[in-house]
Amino acid sequence: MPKRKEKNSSPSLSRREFIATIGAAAPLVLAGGCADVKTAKRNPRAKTVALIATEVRRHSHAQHFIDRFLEGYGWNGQWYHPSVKLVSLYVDQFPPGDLARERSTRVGVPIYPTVEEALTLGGSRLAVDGVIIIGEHGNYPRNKRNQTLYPRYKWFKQVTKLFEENGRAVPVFNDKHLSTEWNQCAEMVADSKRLGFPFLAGSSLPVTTRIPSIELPLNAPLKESLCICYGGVDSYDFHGLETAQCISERRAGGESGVRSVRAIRGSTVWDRLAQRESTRELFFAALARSHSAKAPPGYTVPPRTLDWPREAAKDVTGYFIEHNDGLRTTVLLCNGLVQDFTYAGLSDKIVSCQMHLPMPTLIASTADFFNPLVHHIEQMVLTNRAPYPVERTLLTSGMTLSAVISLWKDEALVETPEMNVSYRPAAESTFQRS
Amino acid sequence: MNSSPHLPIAFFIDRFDVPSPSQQLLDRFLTGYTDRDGFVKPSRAVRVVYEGSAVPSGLAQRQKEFGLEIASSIPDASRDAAAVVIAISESNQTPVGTILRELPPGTRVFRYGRATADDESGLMRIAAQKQIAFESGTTAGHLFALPEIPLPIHGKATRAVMIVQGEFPNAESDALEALASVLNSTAEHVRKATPLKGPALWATAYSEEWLPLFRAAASRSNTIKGDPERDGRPQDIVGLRLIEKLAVKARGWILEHETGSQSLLLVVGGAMADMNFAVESPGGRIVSAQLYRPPSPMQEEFSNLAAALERFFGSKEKPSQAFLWVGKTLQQMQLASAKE
Repeated sequence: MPKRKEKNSSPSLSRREFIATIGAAAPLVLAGGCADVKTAKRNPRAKTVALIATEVRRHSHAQHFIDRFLEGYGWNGQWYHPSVKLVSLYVDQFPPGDLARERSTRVGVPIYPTVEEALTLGGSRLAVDGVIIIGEHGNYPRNKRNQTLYPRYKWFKQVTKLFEENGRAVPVFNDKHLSTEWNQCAEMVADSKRLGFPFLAGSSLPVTTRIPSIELPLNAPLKESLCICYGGVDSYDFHGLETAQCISERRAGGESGVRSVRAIRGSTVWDRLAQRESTRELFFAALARSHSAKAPPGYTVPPRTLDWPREAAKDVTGYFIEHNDGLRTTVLLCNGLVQDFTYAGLSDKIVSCQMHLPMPTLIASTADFFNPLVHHIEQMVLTNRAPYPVERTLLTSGMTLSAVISLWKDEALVETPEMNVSYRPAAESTFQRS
Repeated sequence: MNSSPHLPIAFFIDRFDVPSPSQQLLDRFLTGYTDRDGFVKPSRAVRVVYEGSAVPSGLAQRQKEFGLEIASSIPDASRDAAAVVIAISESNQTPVGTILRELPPGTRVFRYGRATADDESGLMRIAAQKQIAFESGTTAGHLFALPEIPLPIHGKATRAVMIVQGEFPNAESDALEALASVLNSTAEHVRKATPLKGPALWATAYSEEWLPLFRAAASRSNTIKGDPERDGRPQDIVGLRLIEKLAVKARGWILEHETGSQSLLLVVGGAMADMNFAVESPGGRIVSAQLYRPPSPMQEEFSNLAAALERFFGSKEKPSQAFLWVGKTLQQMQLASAKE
């Protein structure tokens, strides 16, 4: 491990003082103790990133990101080696089956003992061109609402503190939702605006391939969005919300913010669908896109009635979200019925697709749905521009934690005036296609 | 024969276990299927002739729930049907030709199954006599291209690579059927099929002319064996030349088409577990994709096949009959193998 160095202290800068120093960024310095043969041979002008991780083991999120920077990945019909180089790691936990040390030894990427040293490469100044925060997986405590307290916010604040001390900021990516409290999520986004750095966040779902390969035209009418997914609260629900939001945000007028969230469990969800024709039609349209939908015994395709889902997904959890402009979003965690992510939206007609997520060990050996996300991160570092707005993940983080609160409060309606966040999406569609 | 979308469709089957091709196809016409635009509700009555001692309970259940008509004979089932689907086991003793002879003239028929060597001489003669529009195949020609690209690829191809796995001749049959869907190969008759294995196979795959397509096709796989299976890392097994170590019993074929183009089929069990292709156009542009087969039991590629069959059944156009090309090419491969 590289030697710990003394950190310089400096007062926080105002935005004006900070911006004045951005243009005069100090040249990148590779401090002693961090490089090996492979990194030394690289183009010294190549942009670099540090990756901050909870744990690195087979199929943990950090493993997927790290390996794509180190090994390359299939992209547009070729084996693609990122031009942005991973030059340092901070890893918080080393469970049985840890792969961080093996990667570090084999490829020569050092693991630093602190977040700060990963960004300074053991020196005293910011020494990378981008920061990737992977606060997913690992053994972390839960709060009273059963949310896992991943150190995403904590690490983000450590990163931005270093930016302020250096008078320079670089692009940052945060995997999954921003944090477990709204004020922390909002603060992270506000920091990125205040310090003027591109901030990208969220799930791989919005950028993976789609079956069929469809996109809602920009500024199209959209009355309702629905996602059928699976998994747990405060984990896979977020992916379902990002699935819906990445399409919803393209509607006429853009995103207007979220007015309320209510989470419901069990048969009441199906009762609600029985009462709401449009939501029910979207449910069947999304279900028709599933490749994993469980059917009744003796069949392989589920019938288009609510009787079967009511039986197959007895423990369904449904999120019912009202946006400020009247759009309704429904996310249904249908464990027992499906093992994929599908979407349907009510525009001039129903549009629907599957967000293709071929899971390792189930139908794949590698999680190649991370390829487009890693590619977007690289492009952000190269261009200093986030390909899509972080406000998407601000809202989906807010929807996730509001749903958690709703469940904690016995399925109460949670009004969300703080989520009065409007934004416009990127004009260009950003999911992987030919 | 009237191609109205409201005329019944008849099935001739000899098994109905779940999942089986007969069950997958029959159910999609009975309960509906999903195509590119969304769910398609069934518009035709479905009749079935079951060749077996007792009607399976699954068929009896569908009779009750969906109005499936269980017919007693082929003439009874096909009397006014728009089309007939024959989905019987390879071991079935009833020749398909016998079934065709009992059909009304002008029927549109689809046989689910791999092409055989005597399709052209046997079945096609009967079909011609009865003016039956006959098509055949499996789901290998109806998989999901990922990322999605319109198939067949427009324009002339100079070279194509198809990577598959499995035993001979089934793997080759699937590869050819898939290739036909990618290239619209009925015009690309094969002049010569040359088997490859061992060092000669890899020398060909890594040659200057084939390597770009080999790399492109392999880059689309997400089922790479070896290190990726062990620890989840993506790995360039072509660039690192690990594929030779993984696919120890690899075999391949160079197909020389009468048009002057060439195809390279690579059967690389042990290296990856999915189908991937790459096609090069005269301008040098390479298009590649994975041909994705969704998991069992749903096997949603059967919805793609159902959609294609509905288009075939509802049209008056001549069938493409790519299966004839597949059968002939397989025959050439078998002869070439025998010579070795």
